[in-house]
Amino acid sequence: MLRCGRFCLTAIAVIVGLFAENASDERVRVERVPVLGGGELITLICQLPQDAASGKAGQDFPLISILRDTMGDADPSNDALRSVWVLSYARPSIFQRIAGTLPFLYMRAGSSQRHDHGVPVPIFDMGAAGRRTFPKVTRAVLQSEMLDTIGIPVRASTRAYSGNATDFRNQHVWQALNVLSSTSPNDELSASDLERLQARLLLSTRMLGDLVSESYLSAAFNKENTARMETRGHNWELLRQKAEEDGLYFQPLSVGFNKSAHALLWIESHHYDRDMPFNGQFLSIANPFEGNWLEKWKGYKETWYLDANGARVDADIPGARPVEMVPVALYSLDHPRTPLLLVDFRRPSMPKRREMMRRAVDQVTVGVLGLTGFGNWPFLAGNTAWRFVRTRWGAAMDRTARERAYAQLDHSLFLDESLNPALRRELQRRVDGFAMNPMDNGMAVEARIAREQYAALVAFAGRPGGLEKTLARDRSMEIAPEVHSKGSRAMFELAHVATFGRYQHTDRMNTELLAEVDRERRFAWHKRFLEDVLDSTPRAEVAFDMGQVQKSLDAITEIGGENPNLREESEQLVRRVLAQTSDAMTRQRCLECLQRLAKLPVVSTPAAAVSADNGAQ
Amino acid sequence: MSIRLAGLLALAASLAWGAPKRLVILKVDGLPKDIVQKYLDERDPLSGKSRLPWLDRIFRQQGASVDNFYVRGISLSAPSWSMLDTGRNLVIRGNAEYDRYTLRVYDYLNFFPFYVGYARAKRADMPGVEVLDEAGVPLLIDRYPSGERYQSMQLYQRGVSWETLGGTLVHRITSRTPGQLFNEWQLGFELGKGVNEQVERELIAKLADPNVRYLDFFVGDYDHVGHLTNDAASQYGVIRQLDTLAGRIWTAIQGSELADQTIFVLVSDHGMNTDPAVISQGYSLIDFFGSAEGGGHHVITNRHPLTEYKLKGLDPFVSEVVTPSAHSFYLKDQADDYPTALLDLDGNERACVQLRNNRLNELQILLQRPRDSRAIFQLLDEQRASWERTLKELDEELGALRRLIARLDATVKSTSVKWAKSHRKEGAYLDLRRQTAQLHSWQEDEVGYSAYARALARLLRMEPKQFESSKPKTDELIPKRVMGDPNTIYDLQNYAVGPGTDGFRRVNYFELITGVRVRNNVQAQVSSKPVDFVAVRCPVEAPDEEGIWVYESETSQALILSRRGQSGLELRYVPVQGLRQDRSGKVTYTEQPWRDGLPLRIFEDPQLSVPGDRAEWLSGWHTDREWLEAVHQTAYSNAIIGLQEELSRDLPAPAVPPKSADEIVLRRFEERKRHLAQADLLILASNHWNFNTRGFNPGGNHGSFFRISTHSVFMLAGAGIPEGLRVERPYDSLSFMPTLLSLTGLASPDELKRFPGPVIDEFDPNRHRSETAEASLYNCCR
Repeated sequence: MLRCGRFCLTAIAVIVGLFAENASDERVRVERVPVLGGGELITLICQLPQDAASGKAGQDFPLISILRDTMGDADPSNDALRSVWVLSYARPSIFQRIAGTLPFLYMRAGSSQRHDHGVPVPIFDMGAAGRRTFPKVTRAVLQSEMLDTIGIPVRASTRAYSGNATDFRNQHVWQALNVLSSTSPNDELSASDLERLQARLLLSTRMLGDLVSESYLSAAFNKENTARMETRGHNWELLRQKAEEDGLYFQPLSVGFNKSAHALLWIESHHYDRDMPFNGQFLSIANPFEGNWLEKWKGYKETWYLDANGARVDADIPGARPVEMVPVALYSLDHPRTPLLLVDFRRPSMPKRREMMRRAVDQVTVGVLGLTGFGNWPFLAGNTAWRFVRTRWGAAMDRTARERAYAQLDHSLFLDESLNPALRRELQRRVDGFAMNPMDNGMAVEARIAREQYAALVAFAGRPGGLEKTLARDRSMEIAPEVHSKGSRAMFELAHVATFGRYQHTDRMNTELLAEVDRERRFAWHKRFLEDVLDSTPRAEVAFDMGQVQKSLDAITEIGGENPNLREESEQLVRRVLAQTSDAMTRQRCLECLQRLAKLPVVSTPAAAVSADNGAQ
Repeated sequence: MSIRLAGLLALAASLAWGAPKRLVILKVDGLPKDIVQKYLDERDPLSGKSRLPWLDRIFRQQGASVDNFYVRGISLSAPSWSMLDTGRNLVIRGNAEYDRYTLRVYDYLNFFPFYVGYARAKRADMPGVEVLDEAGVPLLIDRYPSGERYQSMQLYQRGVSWETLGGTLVHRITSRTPGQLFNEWQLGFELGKGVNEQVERELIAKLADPNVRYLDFFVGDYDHVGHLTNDAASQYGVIRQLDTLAGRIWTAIQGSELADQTIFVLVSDHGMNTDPAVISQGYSLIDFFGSAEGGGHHVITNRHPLTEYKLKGLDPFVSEVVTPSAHSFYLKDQADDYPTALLDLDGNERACVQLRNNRLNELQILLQRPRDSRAIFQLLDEQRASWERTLKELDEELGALRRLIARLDATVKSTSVKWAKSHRKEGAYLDLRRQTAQLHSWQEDEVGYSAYARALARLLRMEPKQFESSKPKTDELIPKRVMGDPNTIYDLQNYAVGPGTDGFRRVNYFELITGVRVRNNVQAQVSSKPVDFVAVRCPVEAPDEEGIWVYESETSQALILSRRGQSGLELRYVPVQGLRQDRSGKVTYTEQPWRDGLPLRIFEDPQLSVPGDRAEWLSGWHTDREWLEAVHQTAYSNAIIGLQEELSRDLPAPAVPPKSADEIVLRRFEERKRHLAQADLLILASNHWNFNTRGFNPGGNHGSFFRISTHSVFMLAGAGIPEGLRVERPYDSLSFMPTLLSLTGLASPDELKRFPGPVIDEFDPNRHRSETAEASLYNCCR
């Protein structure tokens, strides 16, 4: 009963997909490429706007690829989403890596000539999310317990490198989320798939987030989505009211796939009131009514029509007067608590200088002075108090949120075709100048890299020993708990870590093991459905299609009969359904299932199948 | 008084008419009927069932629904729940109220001072309950002895269940596996959900106890989310959780011993003006009243403006915040001593404004220029009769109050014993705490009103010779932190905000407030005019009538007249223009014919349902029932009734009528206090505008009379409730309690008739049976 809050959200996950207001952009298409060994590569590809990519208009920008293991059949219940590639994410070059170790280097070190024809590195594996946690925690421990103690040069450079590498990866995660959040469910990716993908990607940016259970992904997604929508509306209104109070003009912007996630503030270029009181709280800009910057302004302008009250109206409204408007600042509305200044038109370098200052302070305190949170309690207390007060007053103290906002604007502007091209260019120029990570390549280069990596990935998918091998390895990992003892698996893991990932134990997938993978997946699928049913409603027949429930009962009974390890679990599930339904047919089916499970003979375990045909690769 | 009342109610409960039934009420704050209806009607493509399968099953298939159920009065939690919980007309008219004489704040929504006060044995009930008790208006829950009821946390809460709070913390941890706790930690713990889980756990446990005959569960989640986001998926997520909660409660009821004697009710206090395509825009009335154009007022609110961005905003006990104005014309830097505007902005589609009495302003401005002593005494003489009358009445009332305080003080002291922990839940213990709280409240009133009376007496004693020797000190003559008597329409049309060329700088607030325009309006569906209209009480010539003036512009105005007729409250809408009141109180205006564009847009509304000629019908007197049936589907729903309810000076009669001389005088004192808490100006926001200044409510708001804000949920199922019944006839909040009392058999037919609202007799099983029989007969004959 009491877990229902969570499971109710799980149950409605698919329904929530119906509300997806960000209908997919028509320029985004989904490509499906078959993969040898029983899988498919699903890729979201965007057609670039006419003036993007240095005049190479209309080119494709492959955004994300997802490997779906279909087991070679059309049954969705044994499908599994596996590797996820953000195709613009490529390994940093040696030069970039070296530059990434330099503290206080806040500039892009990528080359515009950079190419990457290699098979891309997946940013994430949906089927083995938790595997990323151990290396992450190990790195953090190594950093604080070993590297930090060696001395300032090592501490500062290793921290700079790990910070840049993490930021670089996260930057691509944010870009992926940017795309996925505006993708409507389709034949290739269901609402549930999209939610799980987004939830996993989001959680992957946290230290222990990869360990969150599959059953909580929907809740994570819904919570994130609600918080984002609340923040966006809050900031939208905060900025509108601030504009009204300060004599500016507010304009919400839809950039790229992001609907109303940004806003511009404008100022009348000639007829403004120089004595207008200005309160810059939350705006992070200097008084735009001071100085003569507007007279000197040579940048982008627009002509608006205002009525007698100063409100914007259509040109054909009687009494409307034309007014020349100059953009003042661009804000992200997705930043928690307050809009985040992304572009300051009057002082273009200000946002970057402010960000550099924040990072420099972090690097001095942590990298140079070695004042880490848990290593120095007075510093932790002081820092926490300072951050709390600053955040309370509306300062943008959340580095991750800031990075996400910059990454998403950069990405959105590159894909946008709704803004006035001149305004978009002006914004792109200013956002481009904000780049601070030496590993960053810039959107134009990344678009080219994405095309190259996608081509390589497609080739890899069709090549024997390519993605086919990845599928086999993934299946082997999936079935490992069934065929190997805990001790053996720990040894395999140790070997994997000790060889920096070069060794990966893989069982050769014979027919029986494949059948076992199939069974396990189908069982997990039906179990998840039945648990959702049971945990989200006290009486199954009220909220669910009982035909589907009966099918799942049959399926788990059949699988429970084939695999004795699953028999008890099957029986428990059937009993729970029996207790939570008054539907006569379903109750009858439950009783039949229980009878079938009780009469089943004992069958051999899958481990026996491995012993006959085992091997490591 | 409350002990006598409780005793009577307990007696009434024990002598219940007919077999009393168990009542389980799911109270949902701000759940809009239209949105619930939409999801009830939609089908989930995966299951083929309603998108709210449990509400569909319980209330549409197996129960009944009042499809046109409205808030009467303002669509705001504190007033609205008070009406649902008492079945009586409004005593409480806002989420926060201020006493004009003492600036005492009635902060009905703030739980923290109550919980701390309860822990310190100084409080027994939430502030709203205390006010209702003082007014002699009992709650539905009072019908049940304390051992037979289970009340969740809510606005009109009696007592505190520490077990619930303690259980929340304990069960939040113990009911989860370590894995679940880890997952929830990663997603972020939510304490509010833990409280709901605990209340649900307790409620379901209590359902197994056949002695418990009243249970309720208050849920505020939808209101919270609806204010914050207009995102349809987020709102649906909350409603879907509510649907499942209803399913779990219903399932538990069905499994309980009293299943066939239990009535399960789903009710909401108001709707929510939310639209996925429109962001609700805010306009700050604090800034308006603080500006030079707005009069340069120092403004009091019950919370800090932009609370979330202030360290002070973390103070959970705050109930009064002064926002000083830099533009005050005569009270600069005196914000703490002389605040001149009190705002209750909650609900956000409306604001209640109390401005300092205009004559006090004039007096203070004149006192700053002592050469005008003649003008000062002219003004004092003008006020003398009224103030002397007030003083005389206050003298009587405070005398009676002091005697009452002395008696109660003696009682409390004589019964103050050390209570064993095991006895601390018993009625006598809580009654003693209640009396203690009552004593503190009366003592606070006595101090405040005595101070006001002394200040008034000082003013009346003032003589011209005082001005001959030295300049009298303003702050000794003009009482600090006092708003004085309510303002008249004249005052508000000629409000003195500072010294001016001809004596005073004056402001006409009706023109000024409705003339506000904003530049930053980027949504086509939203007008650039944040204020829709302003409503105030208006004196009328007929002694048995009350008037309310609705001002939209100089040419679009209306007078809403009300009187008590043979068949109850009668109302009339008179279109007028150019209404003015002179200093002597005389009101003049020009009547105008019915036309499009008048306040509330009734005439042109296609949903208006009246027989014959619209203008003819609309020009006549009609009962509130007739008005409700005519206008409930219009854009402003039952605004004409709601405005009367909100601004009327009538108070519901106390359950136990006063008898002794002191009781009669104290009743007058109670009425005075309630009148002094009423607004000078009721400001209504235009569609998709709000006056929230505490933070931002882009998702949606309520407080107005727009149908989307007043249209509420009332659904029932269980013992004796006809299955599949949909009541189309409109009803309002006043029908809720008498209907439940009728269905549960807790009130006699005579008592039901004494309630101001009608019983929804469509639920009457006898009527339903006879109608069904008639229908069967009709079908047979066909």
